[in-house]
Amino acid sequence: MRIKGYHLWLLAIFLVVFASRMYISSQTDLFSDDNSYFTLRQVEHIVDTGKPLIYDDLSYGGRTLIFSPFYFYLLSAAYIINHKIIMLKIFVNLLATLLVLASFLIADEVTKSKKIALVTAFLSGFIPVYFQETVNSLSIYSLIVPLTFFSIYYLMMLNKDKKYSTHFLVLLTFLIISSPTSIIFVLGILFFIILAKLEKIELNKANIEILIVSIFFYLWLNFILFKKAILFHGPSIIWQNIPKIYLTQYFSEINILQSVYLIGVLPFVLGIYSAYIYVTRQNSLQIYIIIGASSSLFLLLWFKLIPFKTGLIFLGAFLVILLSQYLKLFFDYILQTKFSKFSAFAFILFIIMILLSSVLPSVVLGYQKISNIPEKETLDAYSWISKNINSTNTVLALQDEGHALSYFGNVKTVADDNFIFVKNIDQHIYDVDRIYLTRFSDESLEIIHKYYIDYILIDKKVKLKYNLTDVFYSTDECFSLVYHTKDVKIYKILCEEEAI
Amino acid sequence: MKKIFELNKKASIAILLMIFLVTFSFLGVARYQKNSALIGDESYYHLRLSENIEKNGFEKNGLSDNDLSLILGQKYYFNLIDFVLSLVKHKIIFMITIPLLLGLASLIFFYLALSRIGIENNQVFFSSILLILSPPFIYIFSSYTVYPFLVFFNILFLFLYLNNMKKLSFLAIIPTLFISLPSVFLTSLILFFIYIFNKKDKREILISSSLLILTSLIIYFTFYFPNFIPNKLFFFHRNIFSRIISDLGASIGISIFHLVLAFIGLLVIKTKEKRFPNYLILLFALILSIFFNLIMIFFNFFVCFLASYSLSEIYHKKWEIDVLKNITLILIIYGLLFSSFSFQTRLISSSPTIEEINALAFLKDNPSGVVFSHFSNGYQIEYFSEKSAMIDQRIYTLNNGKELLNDSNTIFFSRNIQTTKKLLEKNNISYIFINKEMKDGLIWDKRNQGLLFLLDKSTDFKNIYDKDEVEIWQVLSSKN
Repeated sequence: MRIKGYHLWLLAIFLVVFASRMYISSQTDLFSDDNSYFTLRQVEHIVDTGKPLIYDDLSYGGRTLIFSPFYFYLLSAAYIINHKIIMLKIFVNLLATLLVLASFLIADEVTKSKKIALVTAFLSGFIPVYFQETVNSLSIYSLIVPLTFFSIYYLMMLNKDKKYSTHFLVLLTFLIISSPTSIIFVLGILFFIILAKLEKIELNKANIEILIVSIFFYLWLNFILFKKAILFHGPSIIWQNIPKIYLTQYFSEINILQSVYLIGVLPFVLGIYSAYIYVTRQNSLQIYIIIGASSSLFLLLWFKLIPFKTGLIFLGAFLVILLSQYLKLFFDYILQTKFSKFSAFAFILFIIMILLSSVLPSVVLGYQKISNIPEKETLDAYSWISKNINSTNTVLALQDEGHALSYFGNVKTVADDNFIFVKNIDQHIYDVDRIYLTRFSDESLEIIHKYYIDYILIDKKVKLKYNLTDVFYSTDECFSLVYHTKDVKIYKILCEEEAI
Repeated sequence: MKKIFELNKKASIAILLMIFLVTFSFLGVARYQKNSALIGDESYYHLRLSENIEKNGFEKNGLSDNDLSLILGQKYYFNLIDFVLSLVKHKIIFMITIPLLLGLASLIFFYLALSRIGIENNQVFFSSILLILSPPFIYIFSSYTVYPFLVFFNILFLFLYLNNMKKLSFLAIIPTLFISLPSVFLTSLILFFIYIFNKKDKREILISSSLLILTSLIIYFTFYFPNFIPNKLFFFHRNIFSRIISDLGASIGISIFHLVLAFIGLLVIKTKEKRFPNYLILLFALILSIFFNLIMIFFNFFVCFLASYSLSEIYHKKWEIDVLKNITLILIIYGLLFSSFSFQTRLISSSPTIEEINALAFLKDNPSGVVFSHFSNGYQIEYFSEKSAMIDQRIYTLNNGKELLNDSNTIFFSRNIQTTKKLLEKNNISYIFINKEMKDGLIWDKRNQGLLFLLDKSTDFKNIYDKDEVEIWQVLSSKN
């Protein structure tokens, strides 16, 4: 293959996006979200033993975990080269930046314009919400989003030529084994077919065959992987047993302004407009694939089946592709008018708008995310815990800090954000809140004994969440202050339980 | 449509018999090796009653031995399957073999009935395989309950009716009147379906259905009223998905793969048959099946039939991308086998286990008293320990069912000894039976929750049995 100008441009865009990500991410050795520490424990366990951590002694005082290990193995491959966090950060950001290539391929296929495809690729590298969620975290979306877009591209190609079936099947397999979120793509094919039928477009039979195979593969794999969890929780497994109190937070109501900011003004406004044009006035099989996937996303968001942020990540990426088609229509139109000589000017203006509405928010959100890393004092407390508290003891911390406490402190925790296999989860989370909030040591002790808690950690996050400086019963004889800094306190429980 | 293979009837039936035998032999052997006990709590209810009938005839006091529901005034109703079992010497062998034989016969009659209505041989074959692998079919023909009998007689009825042996077909239904009266509504439903698809014999079907329902109502009001009217608990406390889908935990539920195939089958029918709207009546059956196991069991027969359409379509049709066809077929086969084996695994390790039987046998030698446990253990407690259980599966038809269930939930989860003691005394409970399943999520998921905490800390209970994760506690009241 001969290297052409647009190849170099694409490489440059790829490097710019990757470098921006790495510049922000390398500001710290830590991760910005608690869940990354769960992933890190899994990766380290795989590197040490060759197997994922199926029974976790520490989470919720010890329990069986259930997940698809593909992503953890993929990260382990990078971690095995060099046991340093930066290796994982490089690898994850590299994966996330692959979206640039996928978007270029799709936009090129849809618009047949290399220039617009390059703009789209650049824009897809700076989708604010995607950038924020993947820049300093081991989020699985770094893998899933590019995989979904490569799958969409090969679905488009498959509609042109059957020879792409192997490429598509390999990608589909990786996508489905990576995460149950792949339902977005599977449902997307269904909506695409429905849309094409409604528009009376002649469809290649292969699309229906792909839909059938995707549905069966998705069902089969997820029922095998999550069989125990499905039997344990029943249908509520769809919502991952998330406590009701967090459901509004995880699957929050759609807020238009917030969405516009997180997706970027241009893709949001012009992408939706483009979808509108293609649903009502023009026909394009390729665009219908994107609209179908977006529709499945709306459905899943509507029924609160995927978290709001996950939905926005995918929506942002879909709208960027739809925007490319709008650009194509726009510039084609301009060339037919008296303003054709201003098309270059319009293009530059457009690039400036991208910089302002997507690149800038991405960088701001990226830096915001960096500030979410655990506080130094909290890390010191974790370090004290790991040296002074036996790993068979249970330490109470916020559910948002459960994985980090397990990773750094190596002690049993009361709660973290993986709720699968936790019975009466609402009561469980309520109990954690009560321990911090109650004014009565009797009530606190009853709950403490219920969960075999040996220590209570109060750090800045706890203080902020519950608006307190200390627990009310701190002077009770059953509680002994064993660690104390300006912002962090650790109490040891001294009293044993007796029957009421 | 080009046929890739064509089996004749004899070869098809031979293969089906083989699959049937392999499926049920695997289940039987594995269950025997692991637990050597009958499958399901209800089997022991019939075993206990048949033994009581054998010893005491139908004399009320004899029947109500260890049966709190009967002691507290619920009326015993004659059940043909208890009576037949009471006449048999080797009851356990009978209880294992009869459901199997009825299953085999039902499968053959199902096969013949489909052939009779002109369905292609290959599709009949697929339907029958799907039926054997379906969880409801496996469940009903592996335990001695009313269902294998009801299914068999209704399938026989269908077969005879479709073969124009109408008088004989109605004779086949008579035994069901003495097994489960409400099942007559199912027979009427089958007649209704026959009419919907045939559009023939309207008058005859109407008269037959009316007669059937009238007869059952007369029998009910003469002998049983007001028993067996479901209480509020029967209609609530049910999650639709975990009632319908076996893979989501339903004890009698359709496999998700069967459901997806049936849905595709409906789409296939929509493009091929004018009678498509008739199939939409199945939605009505689906809604009913949430509440009535028997409807679910028959709905499963329809699901298998519909699913065979999609299997047949996928198998016979030329695909654009051949490799996708092969992958799809492999995934479907794996999916069906996975659902089936997964369900069988649940049955193999289901209650009562040998450990529970040993514990209850130990309890038998202790002084009499009411035993408290989860209601799904009620019948086995009554049979093996020869003591009354506070609640059993009849809770859905008891007048005070809701109150009993509330009491039982409070006892399970309260950590206040005064509250628990009050309720234990109110219900005269002397023993508490706890098995592994209860501690592993059926009731508790932590070792110090509710009653488990009290048993550990309070001096009001004495542990009299603790082996293989089965515990029996004696309640030490002031009388003791």
